[in-house]
Amino acid sequence: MSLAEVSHVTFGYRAAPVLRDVSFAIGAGELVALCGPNGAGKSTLLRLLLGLHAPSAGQVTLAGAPLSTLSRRQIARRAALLPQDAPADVPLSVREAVSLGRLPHLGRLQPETAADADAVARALAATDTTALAERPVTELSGGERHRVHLARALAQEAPLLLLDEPIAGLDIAHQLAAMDLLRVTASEGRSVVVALHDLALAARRCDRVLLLAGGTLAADARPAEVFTRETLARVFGVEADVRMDPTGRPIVDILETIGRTP
Amino acid sequence: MSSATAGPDTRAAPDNASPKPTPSRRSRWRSRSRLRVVTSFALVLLAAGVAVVVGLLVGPAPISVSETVGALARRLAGKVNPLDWRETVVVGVRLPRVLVGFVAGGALAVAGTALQGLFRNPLAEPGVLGISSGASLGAVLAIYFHLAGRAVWLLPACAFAGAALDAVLVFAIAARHGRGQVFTATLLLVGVALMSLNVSLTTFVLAISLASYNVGREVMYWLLGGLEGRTWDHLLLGAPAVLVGTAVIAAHARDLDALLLGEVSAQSVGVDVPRVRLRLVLASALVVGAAVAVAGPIAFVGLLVPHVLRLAMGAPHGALVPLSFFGGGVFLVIADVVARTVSADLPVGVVTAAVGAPLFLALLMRRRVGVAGA
Repeated sequence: MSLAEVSHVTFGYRAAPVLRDVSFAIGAGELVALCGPNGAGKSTLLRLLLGLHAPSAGQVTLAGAPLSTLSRRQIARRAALLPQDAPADVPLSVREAVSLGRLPHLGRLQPETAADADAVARALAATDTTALAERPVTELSGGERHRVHLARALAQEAPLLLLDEPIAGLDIAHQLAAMDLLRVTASEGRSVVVALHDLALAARRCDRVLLLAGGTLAADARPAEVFTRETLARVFGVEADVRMDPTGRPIVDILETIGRTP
Repeated sequence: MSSATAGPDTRAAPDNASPKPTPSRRSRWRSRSRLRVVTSFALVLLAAGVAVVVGLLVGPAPISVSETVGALARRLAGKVNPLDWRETVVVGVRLPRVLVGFVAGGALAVAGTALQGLFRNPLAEPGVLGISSGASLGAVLAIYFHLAGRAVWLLPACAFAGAALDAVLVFAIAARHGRGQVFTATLLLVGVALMSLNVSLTTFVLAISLASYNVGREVMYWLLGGLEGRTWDHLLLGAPAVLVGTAVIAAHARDLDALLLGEVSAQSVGVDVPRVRLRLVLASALVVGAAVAVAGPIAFVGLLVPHVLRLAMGAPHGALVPLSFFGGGVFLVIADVVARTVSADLPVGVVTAAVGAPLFLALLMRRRVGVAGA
């Protein structure tokens, strides 16, 4: 059984359709990049997977159960979402903020257990934020704050992790560390769907690419099949140099916007 | 589409991925944070005790500590002496006044805490949804139509009805528009519009009631907010609603914490935001409606007390909500003592604003005040 299944989903805000007839399934242990130009519907698709929007046609299931039959709490135990625009002014300590990831596992008045504290400690360690644990989130740098929000999503320990541009605000070392962390998370049997603008990183680090273009799923395959010169030109309007490394992974080098000369 | 290609990239896990913090470090943090909570509760409860005692001792009639204690003890023992005027003053006048003030102040502070957290806005307070102005309108109408004199519960009931009607209207109008952030913003805008409407209608009622000196004076006096002449009936009318509403808000403390992460993250961790928002606004309307109904519109408690406590405590609502209740109660009881001491005719609402506004400004200048607190 797949962790998530999107079948023939169509969705639009008011009249304008954003996604048309999108279908795919996510199995266990996958690291999936969600790519596409601005406005292609990446964030919308992640929100549909969490049931924050209801599709106008089609259905989303998590671990076999249609979203419409699940409570918000039940969804939260199956999937965690890190939104793109997580706020900066969170008036909590880092540990308090990350601990909120344990909410779906706790009763309304039930105190945290040792297992919850361990999950929080693991998430802090994994995101290199253990040393920040007692600092207020408001005092952190932008990159540190991103890692705290990522730690919150990890602490949730849901089988499916949905991340919307988690590395956009990070320096290059932390970008790579974050991608490694997602790699490790996937190898532990959880699945990760990560919206990425950095195509080179997506090509290099992910098992599978979902390419959204014009509201439809333009490709769903391994990076080597998706990131071709032709596809990059057609979907992103860029001229790219694509080579294969010895292991058969594409190395994508974006050169120029098509129609412009340097 | 497989994980088989993972090979080359599955390097050794980054060195930051595995070490766990030592248990001693964790438990040290926990005890420190628990210590802060315990200390805060101890201080607030102590202050509550002092405020109630002072509230019982201060007044125009000279009644000593021992006479006050004696009167309370006799009443607790069930031995009522209706001929002892001191007993009547302590048990029939001062005690209900102190308790009504405590419950109303606590209610306003709890509602302020809930609304500031819910809207992630430091300016949110019991007035923002128009709830308290709706209650005022109801009360003023009750006085104008001479309902207030017929039974002691009629004025509070009308005030409460005004608050409830207002809460329902705000939600009904806002619900016709978007969801998520848009809905929250709409809720605030509709609240502001209704507040203006309530205030203008209240002013209108005040203007026409001035035709009769007595009615005009009564309306004016009520609008200034006061605890003059509050009885056990007022306490029995207000307290149950305040306690129920406060319990509902306290039960949603973790949801309020999660909302600090933003609405989408809150939903990600399993908070049903639309439902929680509805419950919190209705619970706030309940406690504010009850507070205004029995104590009149009292400014600044709902804004100031949550801010001061956030600065002292940080933001987690599990401690903040009960602390706000006691903190708001202490603040209003002490303000009432000040009002009674300065002049027998000074309404407590004047004192809360006169003390609260400069205090709030001082806080603002000392450090950034916000939902962000610390």
